[in-house]
Amino acid sequence: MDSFMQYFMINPVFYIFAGIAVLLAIAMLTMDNPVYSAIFMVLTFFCISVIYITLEAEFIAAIQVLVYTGAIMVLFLFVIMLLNLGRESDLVERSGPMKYISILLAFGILLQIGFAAKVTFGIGEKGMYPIEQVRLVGNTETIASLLFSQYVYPFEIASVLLLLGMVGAIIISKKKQE
Amino acid sequence: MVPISHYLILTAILFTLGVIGVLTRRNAIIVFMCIELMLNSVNLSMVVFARFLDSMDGQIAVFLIMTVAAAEVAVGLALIVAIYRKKESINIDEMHIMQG
Amino acid sequence: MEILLFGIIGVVVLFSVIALNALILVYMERKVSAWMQSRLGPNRVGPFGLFQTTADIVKLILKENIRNDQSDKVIYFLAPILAFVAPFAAFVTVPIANTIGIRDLDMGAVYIFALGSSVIFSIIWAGYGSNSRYALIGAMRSAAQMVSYEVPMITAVLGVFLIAGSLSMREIVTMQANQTWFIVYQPLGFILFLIAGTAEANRAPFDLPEAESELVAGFHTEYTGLKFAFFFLGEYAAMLVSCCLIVLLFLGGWLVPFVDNSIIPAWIHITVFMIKVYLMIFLMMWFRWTFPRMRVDHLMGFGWKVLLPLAFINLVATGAVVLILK
Repeated sequence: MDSFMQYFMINPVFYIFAGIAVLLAIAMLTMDNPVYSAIFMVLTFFCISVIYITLEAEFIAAIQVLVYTGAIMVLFLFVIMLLNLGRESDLVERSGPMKYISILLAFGILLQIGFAAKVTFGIGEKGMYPIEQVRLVGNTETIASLLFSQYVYPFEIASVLLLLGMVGAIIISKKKQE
Repeated sequence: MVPISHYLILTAILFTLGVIGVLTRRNAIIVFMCIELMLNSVNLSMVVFARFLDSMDGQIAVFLIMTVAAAEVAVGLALIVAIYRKKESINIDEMHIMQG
Repeated sequence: MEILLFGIIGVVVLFSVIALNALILVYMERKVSAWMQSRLGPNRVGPFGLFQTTADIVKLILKENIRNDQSDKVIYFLAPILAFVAPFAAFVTVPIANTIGIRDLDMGAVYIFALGSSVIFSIIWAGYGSNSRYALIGAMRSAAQMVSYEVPMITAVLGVFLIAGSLSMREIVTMQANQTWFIVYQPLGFILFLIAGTAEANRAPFDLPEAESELVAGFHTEYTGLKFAFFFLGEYAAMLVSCCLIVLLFLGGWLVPFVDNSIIPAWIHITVFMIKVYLMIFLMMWFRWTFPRMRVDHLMGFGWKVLLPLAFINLVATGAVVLILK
């Protein structure tokens, strides 16, 4: 426990927001009302973006807030209100043995991830961007220069994917004219 | 610096919570949110590895994953709307037209 | 500890500046509208009616706090706070002179846009939480409007980022000191950003979310007293942020035109910056009393079919020119 306190003093922001993120995620998946779930989802993602900042990935943190609160949360809330699912949910949630079996399975996955992480801890070649160098140039600029040189094809494909997503969403959700 | 294991424990917990949500909930929208949570926990682990291995690739991957997630949410929610129009319900247990 | 102390002082100073600014803006809006309609405007409380807004704030604070019985307690309570916090936090990266600003982030512009987009969900919460039809319709309209005007707004400023090669506010202004103001290079971008910024701040002629003639007061119909005051503060803070952005990105920030800026003391820079910002705010108020409110379907069509294609043309043309001149 002593060592934990030691780490806590090094980076309290990470531990506080990690704890809040986990609590909010639990709240998100236990709420009956999807509107509350959406709110807790966004707050969880806010916490994750703070954790990105503790990892000095400021650009990703800003993009996280921009994409998830500005776009994805609004989409969720729009659909919830469009379908009028907000008030009370008349869905009968899963209960009985199936529920506990699935939770057990999920913990199996947790153990598996933990094991995999333990085996592969700290293994891997060091890359070309030590944090001091990134700080010197700036996080945004480093990402930008990589994105438009080495990763330009994935970037272009992602933009095509977005276009496809937009067209697809419009076609699927459009009311058929009879 | 906080050891990498603490970050990874956090991502593992978040991922597991997402899995629990997907397995236990019936409301399609909440299931969808849990999938988003899983994507986010993977993103977080990518950024963690990028930071600890002095690499930038992880952050770029996260950037691309976010565009994919945005497109996925748009299409997925459109599908939910279309299904709701047809079945008047978003209970995922009732979405079994494709079953033989 | 020093960081904490510095942070607390910064928050207090920032809060008082924003609150004072809101007081001034309310007074200014009334006077400007009175001037445009050949009226006198507030002139009873204090000299020239200067204390009218202070009296209004006192009235708002003393008002009984009424909550709709069917409303959603938590969401109803959180919405006004968030509406204020998001634009408030955006000021962190707005520099007001060369060395004066809380913190210069190297992705400052993205940060400001991210916070600007989180205003949307305070509005949706307000609409949903107050459990009233007018509020809900207002909130949905507002969300649709803000999401769709965010796209042309960000696309319009991409031209500036292309020329400046940076997302940091301070560096963008420094670039303008070396060259000229970016409004010269980006006239179309400026106009698009101005229109989209007005829509983003929910100002007339795009104030459909609170169109009083059809929706009573839109998403804040059910709010009174201090909570309403918070929405008010948030709205004026958002307006101030978008005017600061316009000035920093297009109008040279704190730079004095036609002079060598390196020899000018900081207080002149601050004054010039404030004058520019208030001129932009005056322009927005002028819009409000000049143009009639748009219809809701026209509004969306205008955003997607007129502004966005123009913004794309602007972006591609700027990119091509930058590439050729490189």
